[in-house]
Amino acid sequence: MLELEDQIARIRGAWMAGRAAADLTPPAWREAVGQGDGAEAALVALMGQALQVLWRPVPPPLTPRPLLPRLAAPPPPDAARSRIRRILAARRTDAGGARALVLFLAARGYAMHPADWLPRATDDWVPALYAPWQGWVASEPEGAPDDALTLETWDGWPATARRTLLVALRRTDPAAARAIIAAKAAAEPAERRLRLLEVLEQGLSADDAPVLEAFARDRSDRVQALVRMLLARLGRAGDEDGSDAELAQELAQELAAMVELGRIGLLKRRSQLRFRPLKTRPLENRRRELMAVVPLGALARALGVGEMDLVETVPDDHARVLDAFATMVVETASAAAWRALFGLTLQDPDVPTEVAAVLCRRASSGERSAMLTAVLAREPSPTFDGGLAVAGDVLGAADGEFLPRSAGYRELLDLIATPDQTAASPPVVAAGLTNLGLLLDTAAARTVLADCAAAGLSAADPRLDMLSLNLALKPERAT
Amino acid sequence: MALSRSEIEAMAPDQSALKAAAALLKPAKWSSRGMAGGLVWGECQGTGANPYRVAADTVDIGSKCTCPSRKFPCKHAIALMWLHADEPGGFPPSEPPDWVGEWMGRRRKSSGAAVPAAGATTAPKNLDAAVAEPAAAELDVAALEKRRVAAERRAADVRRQVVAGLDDLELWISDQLRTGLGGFLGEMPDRCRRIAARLVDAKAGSLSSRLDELPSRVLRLPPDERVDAAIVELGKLTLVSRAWRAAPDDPELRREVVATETRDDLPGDNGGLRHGALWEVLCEQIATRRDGLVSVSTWLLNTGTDGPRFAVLMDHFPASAGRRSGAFAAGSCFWAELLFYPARVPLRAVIAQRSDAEVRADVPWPEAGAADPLQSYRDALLAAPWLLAAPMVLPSGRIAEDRAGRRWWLDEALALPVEGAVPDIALGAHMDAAAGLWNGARLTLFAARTNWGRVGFDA
Repeated sequence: MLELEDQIARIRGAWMAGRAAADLTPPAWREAVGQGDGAEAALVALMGQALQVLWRPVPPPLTPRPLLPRLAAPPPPDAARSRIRRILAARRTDAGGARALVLFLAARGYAMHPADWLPRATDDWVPALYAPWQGWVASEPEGAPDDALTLETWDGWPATARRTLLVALRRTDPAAARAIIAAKAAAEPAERRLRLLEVLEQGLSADDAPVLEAFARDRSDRVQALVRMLLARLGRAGDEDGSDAELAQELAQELAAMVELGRIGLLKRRSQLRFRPLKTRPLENRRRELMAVVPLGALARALGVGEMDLVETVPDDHARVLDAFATMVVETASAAAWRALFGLTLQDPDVPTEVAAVLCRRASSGERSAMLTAVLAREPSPTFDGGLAVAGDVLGAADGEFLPRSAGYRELLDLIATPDQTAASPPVVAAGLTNLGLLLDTAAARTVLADCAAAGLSAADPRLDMLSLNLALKPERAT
Repeated sequence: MALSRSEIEAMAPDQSALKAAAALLKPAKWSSRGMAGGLVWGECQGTGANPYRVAADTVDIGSKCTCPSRKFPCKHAIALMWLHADEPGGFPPSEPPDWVGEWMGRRRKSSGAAVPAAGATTAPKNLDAAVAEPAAAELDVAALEKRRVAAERRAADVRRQVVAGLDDLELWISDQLRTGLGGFLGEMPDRCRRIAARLVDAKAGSLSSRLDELPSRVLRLPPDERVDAAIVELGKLTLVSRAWRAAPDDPELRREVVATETRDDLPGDNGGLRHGALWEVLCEQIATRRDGLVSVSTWLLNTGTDGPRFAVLMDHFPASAGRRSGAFAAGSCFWAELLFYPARVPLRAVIAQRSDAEVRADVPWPEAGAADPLQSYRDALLAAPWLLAAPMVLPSGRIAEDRAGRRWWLDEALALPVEGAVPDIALGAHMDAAAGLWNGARLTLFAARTNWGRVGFDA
């Protein structure tokens, strides 16, 4: 065979250079190739066949990846997968992409089938159950020690698994988690350092302050910003003695000059933060910038009051900066101050849903559910975008009691029942039905499907896919 | 809610459409019929290899069909609504399939029938007239004989032209070798385009298409593999040209060189291969060709133990007709009797008869067979050496990546470089079996059975 290979190489070389190759015909082929006019044609025909069947490709060194690990949650039933693929295809161009669907499945106790969706290593929003797949996607080494995560077993665990284990450890033994983060975070690259320090946000306490302060001058801006935010919640500045502290005070003073603290209420006097009218757009922009960097505590000190005085009532929002203030509170306020504003928002139907959604970033699942119930009841938009933003990962569980009273739902059904209007605003109907499919529990989804059929929407309409999937995915509990 | 006959008459674009629809009223022409609410749907076996998918909304008389007809509504949509009007019981209530849902999502609500142009006269249309049998034309023996002689003369003329075209092709091939393959590779698209145009003039349309696509097949490969790929292509062209000269009436060679016979020209019961089996839809390949046609190939795997292992249903339609939705869902199974085009290795086929029951469950695949998975490929190329590729079933294995990120099919004894999309899951799955197309240089995978279930490679 080696001899034939050599002869074929010579024929190839001759043809590349434009020389006749019939004289180079291998002896075994000579009878078939013959001589004369047709020899070159016969030779190329035989060469073609030989090149196609005689040799196999020689592979370079190949090592298959480890098999994709099984997850703790089961994949959805096969019957539901075609609908899931259709929803994924429809959401490919949406801002959130697959996120809401993945969270919905996780809330129902299912993991996506890997042929339909796999997380990227950089997806920081995926539920913890996908950690083994993220490790696989990032080509992390397989295997894990039998022991729990400790300082001694740290190196044996893949990076994605470490974070999941740390989150669980932080819940049961905050001090142990803190000790591991303090010892190991500094040696990690910036992205992982950030993800490790984020673990401290859960159950943040004064004991965490020394660990956070050690990273106050981290070389990563994002880590620095996270540390500043967490320290602010504990009522501490990152660098209390340096020039940064002076600058922070100046910024807080500048912001304090743009707001005022008034008093409202006849019987029960309470303070209320008001945003002063500003003369120019640049000044308004400046106030927004300041609210993004000044912690709530610093503003309170600049105004000469306590942090809780700023959240005794929902601030007066003629200046339309309540969302910026809510961001300030959710990122930098103490737990008590955040809870105070969250409670006020829960009770006050006039607070925009966007503001409620911002405040929910620090909420537990129970608090989110309560806010979601309140928001759905007052949601005026037929798209229910606000409800989805508030829900976060609390999906597929809202009951449908609010539906008969909901202005947004009424408008949605009106749009469906009036084909001309539906044609004019198809994204509104599609978004509303999909978001309801993500938010509601099974019984409420069934109600909505029945209402849509009564309004004239065909059962085959793909805009009902999410609601139909909701019905098909009974809550599954991992065994 | 069924439409009335008068509504169907009103929506038809003309009487000839009604007449054409009347020929489709036999229930045997239809499969997978169903209805939900005001929607009706069905699959109609037309002249194409793939059945046409037809759906209609009886409320607003909108309809959709995957056939390439420019009439709207087409004869298939009219026939579907006509069948529903005459025999609503033939449409069992059921969950609308995915393709009906997709159509519902895309469509704009409007009147189903095209609005006649202003001033256009509308000829009367009548269902009863459409089903009336035409008066039998008197047989004129002399005219028939005249027609036969003219056809023979035309065929001889075509043969002469093809021979002249093949003379030019063989001269062209020797020119490419004589002037050096280095130059040929550098100017391949232009040179192939010129000889392809000559072959069109010589009535060798199929060979012309093959030459048209040659550069794209070769240029897909890395530069160091292109010389061998060019030699293979030129060698195969020589083989098919010589084979046709030796047997110009051979149907397979005629298909390779001149044109594909129509469905009606297939031998059918007179010697044609028919095989009934449970077929799994492996994948659908859609490619836009240089001649402006879109080619849709539906690859089927015979899950039984006898008969051809693979079949491909192939249709072509103009790219200007817009995107056609596929006729089958990948992974689904259905029983059908296929009628194969005559060939040394039967592969291309049309559906002769199809059972209505679609089996969606995972039907076990047949064993890969011979110890060497490439044996079936070698057998195919021995029987028909002008073939460029052959499908095969691969045994259990993995997909692995080399350092350059190229993917390889890998089992204990074999490693084949993979071409085309490979979903990420395939890199982490163990394949119990796989099916694909091997061309001697690259493996294009269709589908695999894995520890994660079926994985398709046509994404």
